[in-house]
Amino acid sequence: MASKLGAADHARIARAIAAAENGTTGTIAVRIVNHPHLDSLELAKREFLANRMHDHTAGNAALVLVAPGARQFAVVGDRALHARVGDAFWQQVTLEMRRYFAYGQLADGIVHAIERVGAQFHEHFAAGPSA
Amino acid sequence: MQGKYTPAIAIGAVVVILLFLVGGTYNSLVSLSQAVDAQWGQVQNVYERRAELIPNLVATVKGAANFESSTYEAVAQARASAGQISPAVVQNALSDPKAFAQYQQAQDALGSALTHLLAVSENYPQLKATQNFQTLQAQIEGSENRIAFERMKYNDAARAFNTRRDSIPAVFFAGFFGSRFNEKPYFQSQPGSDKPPTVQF
Amino acid sequence: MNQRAVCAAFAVATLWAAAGSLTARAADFTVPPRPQTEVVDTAGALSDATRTALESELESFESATGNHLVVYIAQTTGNVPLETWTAQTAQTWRVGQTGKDNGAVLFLFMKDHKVRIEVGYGLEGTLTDATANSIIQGTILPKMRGGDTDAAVTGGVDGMIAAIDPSYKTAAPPPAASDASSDDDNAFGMFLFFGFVVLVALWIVYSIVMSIYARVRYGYLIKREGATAAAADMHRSWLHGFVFGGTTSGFGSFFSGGSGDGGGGGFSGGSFGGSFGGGGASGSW
Repeated sequence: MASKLGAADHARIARAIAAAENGTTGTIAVRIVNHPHLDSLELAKREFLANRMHDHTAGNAALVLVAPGARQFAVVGDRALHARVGDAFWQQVTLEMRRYFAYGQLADGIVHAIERVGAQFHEHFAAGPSA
Repeated sequence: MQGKYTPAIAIGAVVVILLFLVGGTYNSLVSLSQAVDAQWGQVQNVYERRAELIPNLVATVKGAANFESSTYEAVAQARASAGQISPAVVQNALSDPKAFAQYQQAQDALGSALTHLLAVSENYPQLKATQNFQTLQAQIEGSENRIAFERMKYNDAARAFNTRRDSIPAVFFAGFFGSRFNEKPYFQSQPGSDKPPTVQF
Repeated sequence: MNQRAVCAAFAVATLWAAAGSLTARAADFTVPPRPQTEVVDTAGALSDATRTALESELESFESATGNHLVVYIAQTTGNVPLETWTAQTAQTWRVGQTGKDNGAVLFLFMKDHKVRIEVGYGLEGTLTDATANSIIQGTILPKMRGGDTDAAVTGGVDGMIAAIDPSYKTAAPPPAASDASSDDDNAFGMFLFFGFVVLVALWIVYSIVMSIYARVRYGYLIKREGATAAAADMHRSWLHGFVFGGTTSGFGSFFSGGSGDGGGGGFSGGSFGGSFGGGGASGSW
């Protein structure tokens, strides 16, 4: 069975997001959903919009959606980010996350995805000296 | 009238609790015992697979020029001895420590005869170079490995059962069910450490 | 059987048992962590190019056939006999799919000069002991003796794949990798089309989405500041956007992304859970 995320996991994920975003123009959010009624990819896109992540000016926001109850997950990225990383990156990251999730290591898988996207932020979207 | 039935109820409650306790323990003994039986079946499977390889091996080795005949004859004889143990005895081996020891002894003897044959074959490079022999050697080594692996898993299963059986509360009533819940025998890794009853020098 | 044979048998059996069989669950060694990639090289024996090529080959093989093959290279097994170490490690990792037991591991120990292929129950029919042995003797050991570890491991992996699934073409490029430069134009066109299609679909589906939203209002959002309840915020921001027309502008900058295996990642089962029975072959150089 999928495991739950506790407060310590939330803190760990928040720290990973901060580390990924610092010094870059990118932003990541993690959305945990308990009852997805639709395909996880569609849901992730809807969540992306609902949280106004498309308003992020650099156009490189990323959202990780995980639905532990339905054992589904998806990762979506805004256009500028996807233009840089390509399809292969998403397939690779989801493959890697799947390995963690197959063993109920939700927090580890999410943190791993954040680190991967963060690495792309640092490589392609480093903040200018004024930030 | 209050206190009239209280003792009966109290005793009844205690009896019910005891029954649940015993029932639960009995069930777990049964399932652990079945796990041991299943693993015992696996062990027999891998032993049989090894036995099936032997006629081919003996025939191949016989064909090699000047191969020392006593070596492969020992293998054939050990195989025959192992095969002589009747299936009924083997099935019962888990509840009969003597039968179990006898079975292990016969199989170990076959294993060592095979080891000896493979060691001797090092002296026959022409034989070793043949595809047929290399295939057989790989298969024999693989089956020895599998035997060791399944025996280890059997010992684990037997240990799980024996531990449960010898713990409270099972230890109190395991004997009431006849030989069903006797302690399961283990495969010994150092057969020489037991004093062999018939050795005389 | 006469008594001398019994005595000799006991003596030799002791020797045999001591020669590294698994009967003693002796050495308590730490099984290394489950591999997160298809190739784990703690000894640095492979070149980067070979490792990357092997990883993508093994990943495509797994996506295409479900068989999970792993290469694990280390320096030594220490005091533990080779077969004991590899059997316990492969079993603990449970490489392969539950029920199908279709995993196999190629172990290489550089300091020990030993190699072993551990085969899961499900693959024993195709990757037999004899086949594993001939791969080791015919391909891996000669190349290791020649000092070419990259070729040895690549040849070994190719041999294992060919034995398990002869119809699988190892030369086929893995589906995940794509030539970035030639796909840029395609991708851009797809973004536009994709964005337009989703734009229209979302526009039509808005009222339905609203009713579904209510049921989706469980869960939470985690950002750099921490976990916050997202449901209420979503609802409010949607309403705000609709009323003040902000949402329309949201469609301008659109996105594309990916999830596993074409439309939503499912991680039930995964590729771990397989069982091993001690089959395979070993060799040393």
